[in-house]
Amino acid sequence: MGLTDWFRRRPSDEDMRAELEAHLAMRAEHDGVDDAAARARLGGELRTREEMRDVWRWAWAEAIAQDVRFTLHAWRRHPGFAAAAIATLALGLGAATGMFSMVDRILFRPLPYPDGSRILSVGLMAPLDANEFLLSPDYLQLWRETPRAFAAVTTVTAGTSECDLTEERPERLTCARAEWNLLSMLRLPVAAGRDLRQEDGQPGAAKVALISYGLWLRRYGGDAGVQGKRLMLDGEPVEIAGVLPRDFELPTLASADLVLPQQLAQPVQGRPAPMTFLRGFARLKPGITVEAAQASLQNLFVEMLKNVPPMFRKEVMLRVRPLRDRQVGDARRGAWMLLAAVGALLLIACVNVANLLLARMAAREQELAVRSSLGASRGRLVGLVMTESMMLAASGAAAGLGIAYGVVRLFVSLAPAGIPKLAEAAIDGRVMAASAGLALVAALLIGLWPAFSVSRLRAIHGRRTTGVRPWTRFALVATQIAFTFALLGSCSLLLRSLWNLQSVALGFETGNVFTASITLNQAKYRAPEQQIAFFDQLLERASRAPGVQAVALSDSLPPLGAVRTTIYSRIDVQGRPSAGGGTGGMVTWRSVTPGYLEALRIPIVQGGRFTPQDRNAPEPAMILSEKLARRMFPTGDALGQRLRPGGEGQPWHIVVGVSRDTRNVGPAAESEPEYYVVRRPVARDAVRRSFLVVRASGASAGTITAWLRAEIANLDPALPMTFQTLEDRAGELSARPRFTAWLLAAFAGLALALASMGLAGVASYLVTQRTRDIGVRMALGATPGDIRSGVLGEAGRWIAVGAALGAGMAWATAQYLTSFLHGVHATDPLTWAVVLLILSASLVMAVLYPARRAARVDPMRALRSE
Amino acid sequence: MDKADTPQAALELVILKTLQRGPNHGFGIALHIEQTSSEILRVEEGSLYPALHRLEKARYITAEWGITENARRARFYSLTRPGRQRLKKIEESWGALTEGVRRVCEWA
Repeated sequence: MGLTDWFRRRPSDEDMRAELEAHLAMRAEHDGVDDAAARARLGGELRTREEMRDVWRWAWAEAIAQDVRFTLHAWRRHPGFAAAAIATLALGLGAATGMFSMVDRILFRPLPYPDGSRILSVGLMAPLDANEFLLSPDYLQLWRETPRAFAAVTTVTAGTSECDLTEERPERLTCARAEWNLLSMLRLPVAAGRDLRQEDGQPGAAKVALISYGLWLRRYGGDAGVQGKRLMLDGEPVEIAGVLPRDFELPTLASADLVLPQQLAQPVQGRPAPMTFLRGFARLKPGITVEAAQASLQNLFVEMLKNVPPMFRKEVMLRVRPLRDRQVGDARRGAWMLLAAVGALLLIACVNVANLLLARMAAREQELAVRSSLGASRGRLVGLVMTESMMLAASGAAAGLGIAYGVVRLFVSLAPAGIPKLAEAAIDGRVMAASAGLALVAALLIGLWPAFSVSRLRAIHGRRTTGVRPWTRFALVATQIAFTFALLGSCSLLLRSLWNLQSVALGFETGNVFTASITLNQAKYRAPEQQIAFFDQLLERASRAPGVQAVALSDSLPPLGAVRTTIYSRIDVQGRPSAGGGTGGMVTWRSVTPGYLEALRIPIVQGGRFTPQDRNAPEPAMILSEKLARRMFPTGDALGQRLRPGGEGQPWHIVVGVSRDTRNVGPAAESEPEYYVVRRPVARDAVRRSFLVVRASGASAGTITAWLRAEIANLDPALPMTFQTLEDRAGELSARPRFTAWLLAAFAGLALALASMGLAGVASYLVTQRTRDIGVRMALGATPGDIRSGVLGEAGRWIAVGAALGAGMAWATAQYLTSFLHGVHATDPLTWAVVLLILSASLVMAVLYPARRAARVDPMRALRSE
Repeated sequence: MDKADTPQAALELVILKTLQRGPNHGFGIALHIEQTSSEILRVEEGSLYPALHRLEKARYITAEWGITENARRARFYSLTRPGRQRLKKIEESWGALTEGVRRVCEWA
């Protein structure tokens, strides 16, 4: 092989020493003198050996430099070949590098904490939340007996809250609460000031906070003496303790401008303390596995279950998992899928270039044979081929970096929200190193077959032949077709699934509905009466909007996003014993003003809608979704029933209607049962955050938005708000599947183009090779049509082989895809049949031109040419 | 190693010429040069071996360990095909050079 050729031919130091020793012995023997005299004649054995070594010192570099010069010279003579090969590789490597940079943070890059792979997320799993949590008494217990498995344990209060800087230049910030030892558990230092201390979390301690690096630069100009400065947070003074490290991220990935020490209530004299919902994180001790840590928590888990309401106990599990798994969640499988797709694309690109190299080698057959007969060893020729592959791959990788940069910019701007860490994707040193690694792999892939062929080069009786056998190239093309088939199939399945998702019944009408999300300032609207007054006025003004048909307020909106939930078994029905056993799952509910069902056009199937009078009725009215009504009242007698969500101590509600189900938990899962409660102007219904929903016809989104903005500004000029049409909101339902499907479609399209080019190239080459053959056949009476169908028939056989290989690969891919698909089976025959049709049609088109060229061969000229 | 009319090229020429008779080891080559030139040419042994390795690196000759008539282990060199072509080329240019020098001397 080439590399061994570069390195092994060099005689070893031992060879040189032995060679000179032999010389001295022979000289002494021949001249009949002693060793010293012989040495004197040689004139310094050491110096001679040094000179011999010098001869070989840069031999390998010279060999490489010679090959590089030779290759550059060849490229100058055939610039088309070099340009095509480099462009193809740039495409493959650029796409792969860009994709790597996007999934790197999800799959590979270490967490931004020292020894971050030993940080675990610890807690209970229950149906009410997608992530594990700890209740504050459990955490305090965990803290007290910090188990043997952990070096440190910490918690962050679940969720962040909005908080207002109420000083000059007021600003709305996000505040997080965490245990005082958060930074020390993560092993991160503060950027300035001091870390939190245990005293900071004690009741009655002076209020302190860590501020984010960004806030520090923005408001304090990066002042190193910021510690001890005061800021007014929601009207109360808070002292700055220190500054969070630059690029700090909470283990929950929530963003926060301030981290305040959480204060957890301790149980007082046997009475249970109020519980706080926490996220627990722990650092493993060295040498302990995740499984061992989980096992060590079993006893504690049994204790924890005692704090869990009995109905939950069967559904609660202990979960201990690496922090990365928690952060990345279900994005991981999507990331692997895209990476596999781009890997297939790169492979197809490499095969194309390998085919180009083989074709060119066949054209250079004579030259290579001459070089071989001039004494170039086979190893030397293989070295030359490998040098060329390396140079192609390196050039492709360099050009590919530009493509990768564009790919990353484009994808980050197109990507839907909620893909973890995507915004951080960038082309940095790590990504460049990955690109270099990929280039090396590509070089080996493209050089492999040509190198193998050249190693079988023979010069036999003046008739030269390269080892490039046609079947090698067929095999390459068949591989390409197989990969393209699998890629196209996956992409089509995802696109069909996407279509299913987008046509899924929402249960409400999104057209002409505008929404505004409004959150009132905590300090300014402290009293419930203020909140009620604001929203009443807002509703009043919004009802005069141009073309308005219905307006309403709601605390949440379908089909995605945070909603209020309750536990099925905690909904009492008057006159029935309360249901025992499990939780019965979760029920979604919304607090809405009477126009809500009209605004969203949610049909009523039984009873009536809310009326304005319901707002002042002594007993709140409620409307059940069909699903909930059927489950609670299978006999259909829901109307007029009295329910008490939340159980003992909560008010009774009266059922006034049953509505059609709406989609409320995202795209793929079955919707949860749901109910609506009328929102009344009373303190217990008052909220700071609401959605305004306006259905209006005949006005553009811009007009309505501008009108609403002006009206809201009239009420409170400082109020921040976000507008969105309901259509856009519903579109987010399929945002991530759409992103994945279109990415894959782009890759599949490129793969198809590359595979078609590859097939066309091989077919062209074969037609050229067989010009004489074709000429003979035509001279013997074959018509151009016969020749054309002959070429097409042969291409058809390669396509069939490739598709057969691809079917196996596609079957394996489909198994993996199942969990991404919605409403279409991975082995859906129609989809695969269409894919096969598209693939064969494109490939046959690619062969048409070479086939026509074959048919136009002039038999006389073909026969005369040799 | 490209110029055919340098002192190094002279050494190269006599080495290649010697090896034309068949594979030989370094000492054998030195001995042969001395004997056939009737001791006019006395090979600098210190530069003989680097020259052999230069030729080996240029692939004009190859080397292989073998056993001498006196049952001694030695590194045997033999000419390659490019080596033979090289020899032909420097023989020609060397011939041209000596011919040129001879003519100048005749006219002087």
